[in-house]
Amino acid sequence: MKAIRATLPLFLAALIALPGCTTVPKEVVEMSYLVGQDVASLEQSYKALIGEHYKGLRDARERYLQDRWIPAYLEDWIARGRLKEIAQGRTVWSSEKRAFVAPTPNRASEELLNSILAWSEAAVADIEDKRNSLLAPLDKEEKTLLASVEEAFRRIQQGNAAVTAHLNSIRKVQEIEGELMKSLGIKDLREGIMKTLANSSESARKSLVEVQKADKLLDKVRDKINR
Amino acid sequence: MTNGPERGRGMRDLSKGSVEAANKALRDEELALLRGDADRLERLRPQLAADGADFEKLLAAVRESTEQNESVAQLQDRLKALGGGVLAVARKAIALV
Repeated sequence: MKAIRATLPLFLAALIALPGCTTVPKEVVEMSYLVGQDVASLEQSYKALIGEHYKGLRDARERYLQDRWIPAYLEDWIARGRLKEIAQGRTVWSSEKRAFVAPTPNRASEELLNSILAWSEAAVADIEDKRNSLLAPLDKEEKTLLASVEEAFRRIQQGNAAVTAHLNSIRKVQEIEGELMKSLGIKDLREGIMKTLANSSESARKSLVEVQKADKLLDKVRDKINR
Repeated sequence: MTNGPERGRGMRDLSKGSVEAANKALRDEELALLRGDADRLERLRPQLAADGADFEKLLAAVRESTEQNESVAQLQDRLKALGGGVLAVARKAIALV
């Protein structure tokens, strides 16, 4: 009977405290929530850095295009496209023959204008194609990287949110547990159990150290006997 | 005056030669500019510890456990809501034994 009297409150408490004896201070839940907030801010900063990085790469390619490629291209195209001769009225482009021909006497001005326009349209199209070949892979790569970074942060956020919710649920259980224990007049039971467990753990640690010392001593004695 | 595509017909075949000439002249410079393109994405892409399926399994397990806790909390809350009667019986049981 004495034993039952002693163990019943423990049994009732254990029944109520189903998830176990460990406690989750509210600061743990707060910290977990704050980590979630910081991760969101980190994601923005990370994405901004990616944006800056790719802007730098794009700028370098645009400079190469403007300062190096376009001048090299134009130097060749002015000669190959016979721009000087067109401007001097010595030749025109024939779209029918797809070749340079001598201007038609009464249509020379119109042919000259058409030739200059065709020449410049070809130049603009070539330069745009080159720009696209330099920049489009970067645009695609940046999009792919941003998508994979977003996915990684989404997982971190999801994981953290799940852990926060879990910690919060443990706290919720413990709060209600505490109120129930208070109503049952066994309010301090949880703390008592935890202190006892903690003390037991410390005692066990000390005992283990003593056992290890004794083991060493025995080993030494054994060595001496064996000699 | 003829329109754009018509008046320039054939001219871009000619200008392709200039594109190739510029590309050839600046080949080394352009290669240096594009260096790092091949593996940049792999270098910058986050390397996650678990694959998507493993992560989803873990997440589901944590959520399930959370739901169980919520259920326990609800059960305890309902017990509490039952109020005086149940608690009084429990208190008496403790006192009697």
